[in-house]
Amino acid sequence: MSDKPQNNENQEQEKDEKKQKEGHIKIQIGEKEKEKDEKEKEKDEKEKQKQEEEKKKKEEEEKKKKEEEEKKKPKFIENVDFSSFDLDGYISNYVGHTRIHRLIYIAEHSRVHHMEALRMVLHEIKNTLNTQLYMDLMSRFQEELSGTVPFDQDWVDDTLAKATQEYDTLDTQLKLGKQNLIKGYFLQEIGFTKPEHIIDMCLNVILASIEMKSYGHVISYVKATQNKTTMKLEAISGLAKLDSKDFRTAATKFLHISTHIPFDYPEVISPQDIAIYGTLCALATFRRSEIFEKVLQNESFKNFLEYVPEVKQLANDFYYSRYLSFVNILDSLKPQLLLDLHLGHHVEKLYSQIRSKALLQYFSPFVSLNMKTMAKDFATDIDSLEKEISLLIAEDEMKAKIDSHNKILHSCKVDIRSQTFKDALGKGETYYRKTKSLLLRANLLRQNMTVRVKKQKNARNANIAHQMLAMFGRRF
Amino acid sequence: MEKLLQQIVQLSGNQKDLDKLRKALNESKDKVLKNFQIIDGMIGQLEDSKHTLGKMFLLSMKGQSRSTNPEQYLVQLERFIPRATQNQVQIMPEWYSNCLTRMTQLAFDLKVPQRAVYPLQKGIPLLQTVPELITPSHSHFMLVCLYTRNYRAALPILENDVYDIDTKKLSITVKDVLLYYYYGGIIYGVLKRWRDATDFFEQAITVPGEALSAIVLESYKKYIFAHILAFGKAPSLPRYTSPVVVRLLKNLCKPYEEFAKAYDTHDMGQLDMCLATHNEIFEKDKNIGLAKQCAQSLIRRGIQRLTKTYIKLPLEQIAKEFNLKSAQQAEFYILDMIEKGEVFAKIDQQEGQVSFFDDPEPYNTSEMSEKLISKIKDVTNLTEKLQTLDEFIVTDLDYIRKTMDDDEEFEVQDSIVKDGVSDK
Repeated sequence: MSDKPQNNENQEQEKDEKKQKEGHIKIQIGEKEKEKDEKEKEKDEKEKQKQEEEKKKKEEEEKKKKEEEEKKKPKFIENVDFSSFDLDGYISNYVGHTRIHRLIYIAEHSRVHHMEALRMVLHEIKNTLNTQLYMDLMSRFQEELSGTVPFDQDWVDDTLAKATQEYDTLDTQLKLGKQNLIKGYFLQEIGFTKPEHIIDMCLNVILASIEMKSYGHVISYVKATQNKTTMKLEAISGLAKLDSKDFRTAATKFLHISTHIPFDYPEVISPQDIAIYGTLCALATFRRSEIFEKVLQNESFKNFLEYVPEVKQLANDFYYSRYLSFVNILDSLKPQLLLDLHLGHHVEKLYSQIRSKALLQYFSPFVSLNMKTMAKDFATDIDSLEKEISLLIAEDEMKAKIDSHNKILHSCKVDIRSQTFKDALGKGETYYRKTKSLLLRANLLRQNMTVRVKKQKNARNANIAHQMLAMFGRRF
Repeated sequence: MEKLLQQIVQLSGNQKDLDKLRKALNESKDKVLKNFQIIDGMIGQLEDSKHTLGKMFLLSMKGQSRSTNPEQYLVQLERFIPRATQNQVQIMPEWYSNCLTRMTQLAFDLKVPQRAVYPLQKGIPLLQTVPELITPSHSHFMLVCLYTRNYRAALPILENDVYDIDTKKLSITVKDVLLYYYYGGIIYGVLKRWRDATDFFEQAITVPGEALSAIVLESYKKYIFAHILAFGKAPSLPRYTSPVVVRLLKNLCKPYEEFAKAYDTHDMGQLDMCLATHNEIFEKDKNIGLAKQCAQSLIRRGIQRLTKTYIKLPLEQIAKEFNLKSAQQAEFYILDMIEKGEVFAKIDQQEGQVSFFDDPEPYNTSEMSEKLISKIKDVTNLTEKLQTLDEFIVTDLDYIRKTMDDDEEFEVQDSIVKDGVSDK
């Protein structure tokens, strides 16, 4: 029995301990010297450890440096032909800081536009006070730029001086403004374009106006805040949702932007962007009827779609099941989308979702269909189509089965009755097992029986138990 | 001592007498310890079933003597245990439990563990006050069955679900419980009942606690494999697993975790690579057999997935998908799986095609309805147990104290509950 061998070993070990104790007394004197040695040894070891730790730290630091350098290197997207992308036309839709960010993104991802975008961005930066970014970029792309674009030290110095000066004037204005309450707010805000700040400012003006009891002011500012900013806010929250891959909400946000007041927000997003983002997100996540209602019939959104006729065509093609044209437009849009600051990261995911939806929609009216025609309609070969469809079936998106021999796709009649029986039996079984386990755990707790940290004496037993377990482990 | 023997013979009748006898026996412990030499004589004069209470007392006392002849003692126990009467055992289960433990120990010491199988199989049900009671002999029995490779002998006990514990009547430790589920899991594994094995290992892992037991550690390693074999995917520990245990297991079982992850990729190459890297560890833990079975099951699971997607498929394509050497090998796998009922398919050898079908079970036979009814009964019974437990908990003083701490009605409730609990 399991207890017996343990007892034996315990006794033996106790004997050993006794013997050792007897020995201890005899060698006590010699031991002190030993202790000294040991202490020195310990010291040595500690130092060694320290050294090793330092080494490790250094290695880690080097690793981090390397990783950072890796990050700095441009990540060109290969296998995509970007030559059709119109850089000048694209960037002219924007003003302000977003131009810089967008250009940097393009420089990082397109080999074709790398130099051009870099040159443009460096030029662009000179319109701002951001000397830091200028110097960063210059050092980051030193190799490519040397010779063609010289480092403009004069500009850096000038700008730095200007910036200091401006800071001083702003500072004095601020102090003045504090004395002249309302006017001060305006002066303070001149330099800012971010929407949060505008709203802040408006709210502050409103607050001040209320205190001064000039309600006419209040109403006009409320209107201004509402109209201009809510639309901008919709656009921005759409961008945020897009970033967190919540495509459905993103689509809703973009589709909500009304054009009663002309939408003008080139610091962040162009009307073209809204059309593209909104349509793609909607195609990926909306039902067919929703696409008709919320995209094609949306009066405001139509105005945006006018900016990008291809995208309008895309949405129409999807709704009216013109798949070949649909797929072609998707392909032709891709390079441009990949270079977009906000959409670039999500293109692949959106595309695969849109494609799946198109495949599902294509198949929906059929009981069985020839995959050869389907492949032709989707401008792909039959093997990759089969793979795509088998993935959809495996994920339970498409209720169908493939006859790979005859290349026919059969829709699958699910026998609801059988399925219900099967599910019920399965669920019952799981419930039964889980409940038994719950009862045991509850009873263990009731009897206060839990696994606790064992005392020294029992630790040895545990060790033996461990060995015993290992002994009987091989029974399969 | 003569008097004691007389008492045993006279008082082995109705419940009242037996209670008297129990008291008398308890009081005579010292006397018996001093007179070991005549115990055997007394034992010889008593009948197994008629005088169970007295006999199990004497036999369990005998274990404290150092000068017994082990072979003779084992024979005595072996004969007595299956013939005991349950209502007498229940008066003092501790003594009977001692007999079982002694017997198992002797069988191991004398290197004849197979002799312990039958008495344990018969003895455990007698020891259980309710059929759901878990006893210390449960784990012993599993160990004996494993040791003697009598796996099927374990089934009657193993298949009877236990979840009740009563330390007042029968002392038992967490270790006993853990070992029962660990050994039981292994036995189910040997019999390829992977779902049951998974449940048993999971039970061991989820025993409440604030430390990691070596048994839990070993259970977790096997749990990963058993779960893969039962469900075709890596397990995730139930939410109610003790957080300390989860953290330690994740740290201590990295090779196993990696294996599970590799399995979930469905990529044969990755799994093979993982198996090669950790071969030594799995070998050392004696889990290599399980790991290899998992690797094999990957192909089977893959083929099962195909049946969901395809109606008809060339064998060549299957072979290509799973890195098999030839279409013949794919055919071999599918034939084997058809035989075991793992897929429903037909092979057309002339064309080299497989046709897959759905599960042909129509769920309209009388067997199926019987099965359904019996399952519903099981669940209803279990729900009753759950209700009893629930009642116990809601009337538990500590529980009420905790949940009603800030409640104004607390004092009123408290007095009611005190009255209710004091009866117990």
